[in-house]
Amino acid sequence: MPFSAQSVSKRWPDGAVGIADLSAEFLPGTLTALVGRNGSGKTTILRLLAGLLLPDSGSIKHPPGRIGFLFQRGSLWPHLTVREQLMLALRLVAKDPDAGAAADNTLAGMKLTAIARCYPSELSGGQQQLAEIARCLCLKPQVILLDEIASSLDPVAQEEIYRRVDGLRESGLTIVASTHDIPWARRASDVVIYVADGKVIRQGPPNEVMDDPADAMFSALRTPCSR
Amino acid sequence: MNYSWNFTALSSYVPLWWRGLLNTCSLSLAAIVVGSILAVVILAARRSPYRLVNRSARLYVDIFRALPVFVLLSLIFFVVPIIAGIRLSAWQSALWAFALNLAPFVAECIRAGLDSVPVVQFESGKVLGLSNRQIFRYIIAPQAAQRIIPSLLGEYITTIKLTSLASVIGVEEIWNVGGQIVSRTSLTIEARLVSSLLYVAIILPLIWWLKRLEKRLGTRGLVAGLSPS
Repeated sequence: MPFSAQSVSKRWPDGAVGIADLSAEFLPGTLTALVGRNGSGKTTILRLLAGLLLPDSGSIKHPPGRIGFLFQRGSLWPHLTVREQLMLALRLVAKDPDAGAAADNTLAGMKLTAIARCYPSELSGGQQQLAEIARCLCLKPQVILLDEIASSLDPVAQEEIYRRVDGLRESGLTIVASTHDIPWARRASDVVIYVADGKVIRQGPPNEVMDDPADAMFSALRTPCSR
Repeated sequence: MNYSWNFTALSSYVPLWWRGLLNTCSLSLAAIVVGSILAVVILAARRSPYRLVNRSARLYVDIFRALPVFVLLSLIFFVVPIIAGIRLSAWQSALWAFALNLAPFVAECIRAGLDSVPVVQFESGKVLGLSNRQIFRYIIAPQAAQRIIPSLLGEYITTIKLTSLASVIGVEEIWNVGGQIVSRTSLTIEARLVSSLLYVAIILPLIWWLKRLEKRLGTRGLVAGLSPS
């Protein structure tokens, strides 16, 4: 059973549209990019898919296995070291009797052993994001939802994160990522969902969605500076 | 100043000082324990789905934060016995006054500490699959405690200092026994100095301990850049 959403809608208590009538299928080994301006509903879609929000109507079918969610920032636990964060997840969620070894394994696999005993405040933004990915991956999710995880990072750190995300996709995970990085979405995604004001404007392969000359958002991004 | 100090005359009153010290300590401790229990009740009431319970808790907090402690003490000692027809000893009246006064501040302190933990901290536990109880115990509580404990101890220290007001209604605490000794020996300066030093002797170690604790709690993270955007 693939990960999918059927006619999912969500309104806010004040009546505003969170997301209207979203239908999509997210396949293993693919990356779906959610693009659109701030407040357009990208994060709402991710939160619905993660189960942090419940839809008013429509349904979301979850595949077997865990779903991981990576926040934009600030979701590491400041009172624990990186290794302790993984251990906490492994011990409480996976009920792993040897959480320490499993945490060390994940960190070594991601070449993060050097920061294992650091607290989040001692890490750079990029390292924090990598640590968060490690905390998510140690539970071996089948699906990973990414909420603009690279947007507050410098270009070098961004590339590092993108490289890791590519690797996850190639290893067969289902990835859904919201992003403002249009070139990356074009390069790295299999499907693009373009949302505006809570509505899906277009969805499909990146070239089809992004090269539509009728759309102001993408044409504005393509137009060279006129001066 | 041509004053001939006479501390030796006070030495025969050591048992009385001792009683004062014990009363200050017992009154403070009792007020802190009862006040903290009340605070937890208030917090629970404020989260109650019943509007009446919720509203009453909020009203209590607002009113008792507005009432001066001395007024509260006088009301409980002089007025409440007449209205309610119950007899409270001076020590008991003082206990209730300080406990009722402390509770809203403790409740507020704990609430503010819990609320200061960003929502994303809760959600990050949720999406990993932790239960609400686990999230509270392992993620929220440790972070909130870092912020709650120092201000909570501050409130407790304030309560210890406030117990000196109980001398007015005749609780034999440190300041009150000082007064008794003044009237027996006329050594006003010496007796009052000893009383003052006894307060300092109780509270100063607590302040030093609090400072060390703050430093220790502060070393772990909570640095800018971790707030939710």
